[in-house]
Amino acid sequence: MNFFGYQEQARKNSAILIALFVLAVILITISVYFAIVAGILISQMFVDQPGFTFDELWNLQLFFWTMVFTLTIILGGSAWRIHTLSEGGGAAVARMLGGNRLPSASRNPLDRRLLNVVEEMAIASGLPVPPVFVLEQSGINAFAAGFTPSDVVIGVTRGAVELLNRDELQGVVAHEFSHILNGDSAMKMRMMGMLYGITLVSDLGIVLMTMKHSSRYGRNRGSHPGLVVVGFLLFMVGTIGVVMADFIKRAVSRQREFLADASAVQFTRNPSGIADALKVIGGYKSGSKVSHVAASQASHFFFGNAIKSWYAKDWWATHPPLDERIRRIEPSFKGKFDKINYQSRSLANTTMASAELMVSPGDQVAHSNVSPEAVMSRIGTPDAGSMQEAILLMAKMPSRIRDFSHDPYTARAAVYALLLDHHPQQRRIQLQVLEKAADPSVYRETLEIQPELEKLAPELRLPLAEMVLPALKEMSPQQFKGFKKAVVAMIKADNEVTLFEFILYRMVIRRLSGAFSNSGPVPVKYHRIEPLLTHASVLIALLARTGHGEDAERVFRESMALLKDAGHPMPDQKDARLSHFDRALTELNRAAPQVKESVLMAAVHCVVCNGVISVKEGELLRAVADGMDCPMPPLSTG
Amino acid sequence: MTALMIVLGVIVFLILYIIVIYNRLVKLKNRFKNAFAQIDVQLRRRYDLIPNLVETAKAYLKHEQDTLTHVIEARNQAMAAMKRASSHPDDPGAIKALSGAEGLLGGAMLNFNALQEAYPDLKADQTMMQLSEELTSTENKVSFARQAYNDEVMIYNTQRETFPDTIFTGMMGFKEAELFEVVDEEVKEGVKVSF
Repeated sequence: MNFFGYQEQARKNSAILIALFVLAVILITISVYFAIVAGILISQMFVDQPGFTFDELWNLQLFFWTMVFTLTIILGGSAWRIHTLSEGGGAAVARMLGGNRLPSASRNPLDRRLLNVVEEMAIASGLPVPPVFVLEQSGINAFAAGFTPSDVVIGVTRGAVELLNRDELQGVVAHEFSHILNGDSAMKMRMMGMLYGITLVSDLGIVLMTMKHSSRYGRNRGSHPGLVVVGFLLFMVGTIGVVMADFIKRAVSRQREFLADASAVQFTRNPSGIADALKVIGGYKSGSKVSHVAASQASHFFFGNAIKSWYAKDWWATHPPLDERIRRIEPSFKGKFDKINYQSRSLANTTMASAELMVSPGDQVAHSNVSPEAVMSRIGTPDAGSMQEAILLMAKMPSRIRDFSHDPYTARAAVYALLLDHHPQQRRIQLQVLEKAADPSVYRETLEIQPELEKLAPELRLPLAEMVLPALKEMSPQQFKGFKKAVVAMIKADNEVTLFEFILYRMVIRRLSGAFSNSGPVPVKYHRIEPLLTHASVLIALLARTGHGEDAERVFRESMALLKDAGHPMPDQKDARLSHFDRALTELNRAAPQVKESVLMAAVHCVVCNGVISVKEGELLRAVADGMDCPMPPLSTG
Repeated sequence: MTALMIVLGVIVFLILYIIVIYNRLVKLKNRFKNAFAQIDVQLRRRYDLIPNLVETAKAYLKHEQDTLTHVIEARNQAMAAMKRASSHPDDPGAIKALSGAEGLLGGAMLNFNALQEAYPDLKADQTMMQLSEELTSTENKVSFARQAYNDEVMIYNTQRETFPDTIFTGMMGFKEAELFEVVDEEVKEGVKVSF
């Protein structure tokens, strides 16, 4: 199965999730009804209140109100949670778990190592580099949370940062990236929102039990006995909800852990990385434990079992047992874990991290075969070749530009400098605009980095645009507004929007807007290609004209034929406005994974059919894939 | 019966509403606390640069030991204040102390820079020039990070005082957060290292 298949499967999992959710809600409603009946009966023993007897075990009116009450709590709770989650995105989950964002400019060797591992992995898979959060926990664990590539974050515990060596850390991060690429992170976000309502009943029970009551019922302190009893029963009933929530998590997410482990191995081509990480967890006394009040809500996000509960034995837990996971990667594993000494291991890792900050690139694994199938197969399922290529790309990136891209202050200058035109006349106009729109000192930084950026290999421009994102996400909303204004002013300065400017705008500003004011997941609107053919033709025509000149018309026909379209006219060159292109991408992003696959197939065919991918074509193709939230690894261009 | 249901319903609604308010404030508080981490990174860099700068200057400024010790002392104090503030960015006292210490350090640096004017050799020193340039750039980064932090603090403080949140903020222990402003008038524009 490929990327699109996994995405589709994740969507189907969401359907199973909804079915289980409905079942749970019905069960809880019935249980709550009986809990309330029982509560009232028992409370009559304390408070002399006539009106209710055993005969009325079934009381339609009471049942109706119970149902209204329970549904309001569960659905209201879930709706509210889903709302806040889509507003806050992955960062909301990380903060809820007590995570702190790692400043991307950090100079601490262990932090730097983690940031570099995440950056490499993101470049290799074609995802925008996600922000990294650190959880101050001694257990070894990690997670990826977020609806779309714009708001995804990676979270890692302090224990993992200090106890895992670079290979192990890479394995763990690769596992999390597979979750993002397979569509699991988005599904888990939805799951977390829904399950919140179910577990809310139990929380409410606790509050009712412990509440101080008003003076109306006499002088006794604490909650009214009736409320205590109702509260206790709600709590018990709510436990049904909590257990069911765990069951749902288990049913939906357990198999995906094996998948992510396997993808991580394929990704890094290093089975021992992730296997060793699992072994370290097995031999470490805190294991993968996360002690935080919110950990149980988010248990399904984690790399390993974050919590242990009395009813959750191995077969019931959200994650498969460690030795089973290890044995799937390393069949010869005997099940013996070596004891881990925190002090010595963390010391060794700090020393190593300081020394190894730059990884030396190995030999390039050439993707000599530029067939459309080969390119397609790498979307969302990066392999060791992509990894190697990313490391090579990073090595080619001058260290000064890297430093620039890691700091929110200078990252802006890097983006401004990227936007500067080669033509001296245009550039002068742009600089004039920038001088007015930007901070004087940022303006100076822009002038300073500009000559280096001009020398930058063209295939490094988009990776750089991906690299600046986490630093820019550290700006405050106000600072982002100013930055966006300056970028728009620069693009518009010469009254002409070039293709590269447009691509950069979409990759940087669209992604940042997504992070600053989250709109949550993109709902699927189109399940068939037919309504999208016009939009697809805009895109294919642009790609054909960029790469094939004379032959454009023929290539356009050929590619459109892949979409089972024979009659669509090629949009006229005059009509090829970037605003149409923009709309086309926005609409195509609302298609079901299988539809996206066929559109991308046509686009890839259009680019690859003459056997050469020019830098310009490569950039455009990646922008198309990125616009449809289908991460495409860097292409070997030439 | 119905009365009990209604009372229960109102109680539940109120509890849920308070939970919403509480969570929102926690979120905003976490955001500004997180924004402090950026200041922390840049200030650390600055505190690392200053001793190097002083060390380089020592060779030229044999008769100005006072100024140099003054700079180092101010730097050490500011660093101590920073450590306290970075573990409790929500403690107004700690932020105030850091603002004060930073102001003093800024003043000491101004004196140090004024001194350089009298020593052309020092000004022309390659290492010195590099270090000063890096210091200026770090200064800019500090003030950018500070602006981001202050923005987040403003958002939090505004929400904290908005009705109905303001009824519960005291009870829930949400204190007003302190803006990080450098007090010294002259230092406000960042330390100018002019050559």
